[in-house]
Amino acid sequence: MANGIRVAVAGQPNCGKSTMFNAITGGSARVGNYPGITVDRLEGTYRLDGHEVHLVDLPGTYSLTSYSMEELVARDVIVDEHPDVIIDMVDATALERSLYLAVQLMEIGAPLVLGLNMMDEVKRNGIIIDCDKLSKLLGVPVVPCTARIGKGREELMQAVAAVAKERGGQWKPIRLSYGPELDPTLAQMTAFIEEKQFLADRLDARWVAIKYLEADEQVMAKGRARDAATSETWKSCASRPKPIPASTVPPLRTPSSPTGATASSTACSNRA
Amino acid sequence: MIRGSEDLRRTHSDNIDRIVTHRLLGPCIMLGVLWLMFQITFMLGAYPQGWIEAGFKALSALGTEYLPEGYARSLIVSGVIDGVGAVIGFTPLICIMFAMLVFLEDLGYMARVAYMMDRVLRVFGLHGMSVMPLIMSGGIPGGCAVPGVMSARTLRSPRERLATILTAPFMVCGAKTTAYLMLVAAFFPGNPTQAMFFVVLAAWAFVLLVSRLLRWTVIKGESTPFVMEIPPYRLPTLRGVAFHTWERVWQYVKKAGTVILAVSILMWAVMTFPQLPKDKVDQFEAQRQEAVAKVKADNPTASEEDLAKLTENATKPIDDEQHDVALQNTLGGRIALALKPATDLAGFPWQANVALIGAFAAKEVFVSTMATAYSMGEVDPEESEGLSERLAADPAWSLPAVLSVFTFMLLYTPCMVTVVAIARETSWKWALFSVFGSMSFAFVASVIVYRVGLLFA
Amino acid sequence: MVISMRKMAVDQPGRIAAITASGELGRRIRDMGLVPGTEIMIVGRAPLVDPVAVRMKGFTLSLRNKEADSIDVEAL
Repeated sequence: MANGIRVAVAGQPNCGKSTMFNAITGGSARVGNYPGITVDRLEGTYRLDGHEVHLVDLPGTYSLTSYSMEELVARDVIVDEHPDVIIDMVDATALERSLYLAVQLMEIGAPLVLGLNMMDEVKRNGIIIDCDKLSKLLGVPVVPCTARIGKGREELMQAVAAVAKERGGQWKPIRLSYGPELDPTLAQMTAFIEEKQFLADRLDARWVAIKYLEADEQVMAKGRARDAATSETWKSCASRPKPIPASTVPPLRTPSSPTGATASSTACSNRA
Repeated sequence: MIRGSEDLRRTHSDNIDRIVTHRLLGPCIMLGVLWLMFQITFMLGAYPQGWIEAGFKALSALGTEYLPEGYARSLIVSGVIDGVGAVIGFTPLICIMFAMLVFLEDLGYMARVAYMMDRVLRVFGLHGMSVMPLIMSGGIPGGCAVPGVMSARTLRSPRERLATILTAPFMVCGAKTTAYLMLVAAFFPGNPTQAMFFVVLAAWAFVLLVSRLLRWTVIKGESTPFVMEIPPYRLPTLRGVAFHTWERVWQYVKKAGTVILAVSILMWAVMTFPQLPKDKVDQFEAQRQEAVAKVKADNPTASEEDLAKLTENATKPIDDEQHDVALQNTLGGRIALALKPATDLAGFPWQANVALIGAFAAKEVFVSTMATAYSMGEVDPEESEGLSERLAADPAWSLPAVLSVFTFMLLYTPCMVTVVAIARETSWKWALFSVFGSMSFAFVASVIVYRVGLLFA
Repeated sequence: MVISMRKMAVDQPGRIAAITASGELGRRIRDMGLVPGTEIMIVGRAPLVDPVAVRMKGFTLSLRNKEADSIDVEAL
């Protein structure tokens, strides 16, 4: 890795993300500005093996579908700025729900390191989490942390360095199946997007297709701005799949995702 | 992969919430907590406030003693030291209150408050999560709308967020609290706490009503989903609380250091210049000489002491008149008098006009400006007994007039710094709407209060 | 027996059968993990009966009764 490694610290609200961010960046944290928006941009640095790592603390967001200005900023930084590594801080006491964002990040191909936070609470509740198994299943390094006392900080950054080295800033989107009804349409739309190179310079074609299926306002607005005609075509593409009762959708089968049910039901019940 | 986790078991937090969000106990606990925060803020805060004010008083005395008489001294002592001193004195209270709010928020309690309040707030077009910005802006007396308005960012819906931001300035912020404390001491000396309580109640009532109106008219639209996570109770870390508190307090202090200093200087200038022309000054001097001579003539046998006292009594009304005339001659006075025809509808004594103009920039200067208007000279705002007495003695302050000024003070345009904050959080269009909208609303409300008051008086 | 979440009693467990909400509300509900097959339990209601607090997947979620209307639950 040449000069800095760019890292974004993401996570759901209330997961102790900012605590960990402060633990990592120490006094180097600075508050900046996102142009035109009133969300503060928190940045800091960390020295690792002679490298300088630049970290950005993102606003908490439950998923890459944005409902508020802050969540939109989080998504935009991830999608537009393409950090070299993303640290996803996860509330280990609510693991299943928390992994939803992780899966979405994996889906768009971000180089990921998972920080399982609040391990002290987990232990106190008498729960045991097999981090190695989780790591193998997801294909992503998993680091247990207790941000409150700064525990896990070094291990987290070591994992970041390893991922940065291994991926070299490359994003490798994963294809998750959205079930038999939607997959064909998705494939069609993806091909179309790739062909037209629509928004494809920055965004993964399949992700754009999924967002259109979800009727994501922000992505559609970007699309309209770029090319209104093509944008309309996809909106009609997106309205083609017929609604399906959620109960008939089989659980998602992917090589590595334990939270299959979540992703499939979300996608399938989008058409309503 | 995960062993030992039974998702559907009630956690400790859920059990605590059985009580904390209980149908009867919940609201009681909430009100208790709010009341406690108020008490702690003012009791604990009184100490550092006292020290700071003593410090500034000493500074003021030093200035009066060592600086040569003249504009510079007057500017520095009356303008800067007194004006800024009152504000700095209030900062410890802001710190304490914000620290408690931040603690409750990090603890997770504010989420429960939002959860309990949502049903009520929703009726008025707001959202459960509006509660934090509203309290921070002065839902409990004290606080400041600048960090309050900024904390509305947690509201996910643009509509509820806008309604919250536009109505938050109605709350009784720290600056308004100092003004009300002084006014209440003047006009409701018997039951100050009750009076303050009604002011706070009125503030909440107006916030809710205006929000409802706004959401029916200018900010139409469906309410946003409330889907909100109720986090488990987590004991906040000292560092976390300190950091978050400092964030909020800094927003307030920045305003104090800059705007209020500038405004204090400006108000001083506006209330000093232009000065009385020489011939008028001579006239008054002549009157004074006459009075002194008369006193001597009337009391040939009086002692030195008695003579001095009688002289003082005789010249005082002349001094007061001169002061009033001088004040009316200044720019500030002229503007106040120019506005008089309008403000007469609402029954404002003209001195209040000057103070309210100054208070537009920063409401903290209301008390010091009133003090100047009532020729209190170098009196510091905290010792407002003197000022309060003078106000009580002025017949222009009838009960309807008092209530009218109270109403206006509560509702009229947000202070300049808040307006800027609103513009940054939303847009200049809404910021200006806030200024002109609340000004008109406040005026209409005061006129109504005054006229209705007259009927009963 | 499938009932609307609004009709469930405190401490009653259930499994989500269907979500009928659409648009932004639907997405929000699903984003938080309320999807068919999820096991839930009502842990409380606010003093004014609205909103309702639901325990699921290791955390507690609150939503308004109007929103709960769009969630069909199989009582367990």
